[in-house]
Amino acid sequence: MTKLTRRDVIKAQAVAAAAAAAGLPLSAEAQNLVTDASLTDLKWSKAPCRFCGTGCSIMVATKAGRVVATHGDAESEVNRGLNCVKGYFLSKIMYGKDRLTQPLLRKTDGVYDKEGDFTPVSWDEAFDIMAKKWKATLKEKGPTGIGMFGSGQWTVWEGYAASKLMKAGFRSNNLDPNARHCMASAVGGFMRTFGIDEPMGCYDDFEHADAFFLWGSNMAEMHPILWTRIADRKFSNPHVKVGVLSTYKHRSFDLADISMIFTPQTDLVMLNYIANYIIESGSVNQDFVSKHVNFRRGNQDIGYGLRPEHPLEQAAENNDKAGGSTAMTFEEFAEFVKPYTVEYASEMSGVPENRLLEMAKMYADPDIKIMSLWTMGVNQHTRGVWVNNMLYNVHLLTGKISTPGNSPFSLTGQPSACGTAREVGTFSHRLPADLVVANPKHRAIAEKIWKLPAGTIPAKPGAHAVLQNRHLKDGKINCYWVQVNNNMQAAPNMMEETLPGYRNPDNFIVVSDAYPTVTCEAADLILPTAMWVEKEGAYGNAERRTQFWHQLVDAPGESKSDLWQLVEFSKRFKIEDVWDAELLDANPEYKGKTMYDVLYANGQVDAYPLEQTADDYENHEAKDFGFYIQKGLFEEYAEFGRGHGHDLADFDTYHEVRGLRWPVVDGKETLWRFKEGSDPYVTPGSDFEFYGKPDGKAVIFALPFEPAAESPDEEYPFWLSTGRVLEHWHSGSMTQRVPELHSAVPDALCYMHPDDAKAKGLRRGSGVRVISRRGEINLRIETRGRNKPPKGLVFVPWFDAAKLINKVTLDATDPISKQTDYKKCAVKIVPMGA
Amino acid sequence: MIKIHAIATALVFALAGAAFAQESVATLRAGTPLAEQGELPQIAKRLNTDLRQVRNYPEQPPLIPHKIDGYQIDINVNKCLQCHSRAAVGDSQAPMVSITHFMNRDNQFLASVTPRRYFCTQCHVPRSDAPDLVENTFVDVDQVLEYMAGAKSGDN
Amino acid sequence: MTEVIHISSLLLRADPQKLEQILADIAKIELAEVAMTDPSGKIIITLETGNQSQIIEAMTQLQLLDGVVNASLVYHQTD
Repeated sequence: MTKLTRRDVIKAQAVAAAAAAAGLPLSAEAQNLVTDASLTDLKWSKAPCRFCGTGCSIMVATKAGRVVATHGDAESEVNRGLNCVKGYFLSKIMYGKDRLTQPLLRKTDGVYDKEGDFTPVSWDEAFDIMAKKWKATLKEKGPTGIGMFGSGQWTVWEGYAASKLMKAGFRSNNLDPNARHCMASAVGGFMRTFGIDEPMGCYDDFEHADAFFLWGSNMAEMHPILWTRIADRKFSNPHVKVGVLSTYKHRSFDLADISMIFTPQTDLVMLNYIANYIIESGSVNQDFVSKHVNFRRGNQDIGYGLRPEHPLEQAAENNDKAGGSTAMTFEEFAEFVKPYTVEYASEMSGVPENRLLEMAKMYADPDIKIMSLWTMGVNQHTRGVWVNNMLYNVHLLTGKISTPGNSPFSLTGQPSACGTAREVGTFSHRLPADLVVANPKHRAIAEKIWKLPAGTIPAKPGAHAVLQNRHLKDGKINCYWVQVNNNMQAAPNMMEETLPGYRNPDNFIVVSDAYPTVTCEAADLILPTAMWVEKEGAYGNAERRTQFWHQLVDAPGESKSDLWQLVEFSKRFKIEDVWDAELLDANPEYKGKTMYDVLYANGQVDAYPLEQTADDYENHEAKDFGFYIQKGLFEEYAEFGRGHGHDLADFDTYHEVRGLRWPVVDGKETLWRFKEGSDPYVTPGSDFEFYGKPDGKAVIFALPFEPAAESPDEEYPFWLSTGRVLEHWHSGSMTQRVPELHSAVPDALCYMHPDDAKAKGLRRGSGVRVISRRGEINLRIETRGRNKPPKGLVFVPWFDAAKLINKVTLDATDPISKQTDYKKCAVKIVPMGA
Repeated sequence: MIKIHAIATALVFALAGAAFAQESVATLRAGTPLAEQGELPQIAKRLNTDLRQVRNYPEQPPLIPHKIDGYQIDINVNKCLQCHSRAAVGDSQAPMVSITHFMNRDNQFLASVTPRRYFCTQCHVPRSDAPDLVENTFVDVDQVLEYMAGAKSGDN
Repeated sequence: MTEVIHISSLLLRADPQKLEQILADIAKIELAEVAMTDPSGKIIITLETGNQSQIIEAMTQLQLLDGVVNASLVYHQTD
């Protein structure tokens, strides 16, 4: 054969990359470049990134069944050719040598044993024991005895299939996603203020804003590509200002004009101060407020989401009606925020008065377009919903919302926290398209679309993430299935509230993952799982953009996608096994069918034949089930939102485009919701309409400062904040297996102020025990790293499977959203060996 | 000319799964039970060899082959560009930033590095002496071609 | 002294009506090689140059051609 030169290969790749960007097929014309035709079939395809909620588009090159290269998609509006360091190494995330390739069941002497060793079994044997355990529990305890923990990394159809399986099939609402740890407070904020979930604005706001304020968000590390858009905007337009608020100094401060390090929990005070300033300076947009806003007083003293017997819960007045509120007037609201003066805000927060004033002036100035951005500092907060509400307060008082550059913007951490966890409704209280299980009309809508008898879906919300772990420990949930997440590493208070439940002898724990994670280690049955481009998928990013990809390579060994696992498992149950006699007697036509027949072979999900799958891409699930299952699930799901403000385009369109932002009406995506002219759902002549609320008005909430669940004291004198790093994604199960990323950040360290270290006779590299009332771990001290805490606070990242900081954290949650506060608990630091 | 390391000649398509019973599976914990703690390693040392690494694929941002401790990259100063900017490479003999870094969001060339690429460490990271936790079986396109063609890939 | 070659690819968007003339003009630019064309007006060009400034030079020349709407660099690699 003709000799290939290295340069030919590079050139072929150069052409292929350009052709992919241009949407051109590689034709014979390209062959004048290369000496071997086999080179030209280096195939480039689009896929969204596997990591955060930014939703960058990636071009993936495959050859001989392997991913050989990845780069940022030049045609994508989101990232325009860029990736962060994690994104650039996507090519390697599937190739850790310890990929799981067979189901593993704990056995002793050939039979299942909770204390046995992990032993390879067939899929048949795996599903046999699962079905046996599930049936026994259903018989003994009913649907509340089983539970499932999913993820914002599920594809849209995986989350949808799981929701049907649990809520309609097993008739259990004990389904929650790990997005509960991440986005639940944002959801609570949206639903309370606007009555409809997800941001009104979009990423185009980055190129329009005059000022950016980061509230508890380190975008430089956690949303690097969006950070490039802020850096671009700021450096290209000298008038643009950036303010960064955090409880410790981090990389985002490198771009800050106004740096604000504040005492944990006092974001509540600063936001009320800004509202007060807007009112007292006469900057309220009276016209906007009178037409588009209602005022309400939120219930106070709402507790901390701890176990009911905890003294803090015993003492709380309103923990059973945490989300309640009563109507009030603008004047009453003004009176409410009046005590939040700049002096008080500065005293409480530790931020100098002049900086608070400078920030408040920008929020108040009608000519400064402001983008507020937030992530885990706001959401992982025992008053997270409140902070979300209060951020909207300051934008609503000034009417700086829903127009280009005026944008309160909640960012997400997972690739489909929005697309799957939220839009599909895989939370314990939700159904697709913002419907909730507690509302009988909503259940009726879902039952109709799902072709199920009335009364199938249970009305009572199920157990949320933290409660599921408590129920496992208490033996209330006995069968539990975890997919696409690593909750043993991620959940708070591991030693007291997570590990005991998984190892409870009454419980059977199943974990589906691509790699043997910490959670797998705690399981009884491990299912090897196809990941990312080993299956056809769809994700929805933080700006409401839905993006699709094709299966590009095969998964190793016997690995199967979560979708395949969910649907295949449903075949193991007759509907008589899961529905009670009452429901079946009233609807005898369902008798004798399998759960699979009722949920998936229902004439809708199986409506699209195999021929409609792409010719040039593999699709294992479609082949296995005999129909285009992804399309069937998507189209059935899309019915929930079409015509109701959540419109998705048709399935095939998404394979062609670089994503579309919903609502997609008449083929057009929506950039700014609630604003006439840019949102087709707004009634003509109304200018703005917050149509998630019955009267079209958004709500400004009067909410006070209340202290954190646990604050430093004499015995435990430090605040502990946990978080992430740029080079690793969440629990690190993918990125710790990429040698370049691991080498860059190999270990979790305890970031500490040098004076605090010195006072304890410690220095950089000293080994310490980080101890809370609940547990402890050993770490090395870092005093010169990228994170610079103030005195009295330490920061520890949670990616490191060998140093599990959640042994130390507290399982306090926001009582409204049930989201954990990972940013505040009290610890002591003791030298190792002391 | 950059030399390609001959790392492995054959492709590993199927990985050996767990063929026998195991007490523990969490590779990244090296056998330490969940309730216990393993030995605490020292803080890894940054590699400072100045030896450039072969990239896995051409689109990969090159790793930083030297220490960057204390480098200031902020609103005032970009320490990296003091050696890697177009004008500085004559003195520093460091590689100049790729010209892709001069293009703005709309693919137009600017006179200097685009602000969207200003924060170098978002894509370029240094290395340390920490040993790999798990082997990664990714192979680059040259090796795939070599495997497919059964011929030696050329290094002209 | 090691010899470094810069290989890059560019995507041109051009007026489809003027495609023929544009391709003729490109042929006069020494460093540029047309890899693919498309009737919709998309042209893919590869450049093999000794340094980066030649890439910018070629891009400038290409962008100034009559009928070329936009030229963007998609790929750049040194060897």
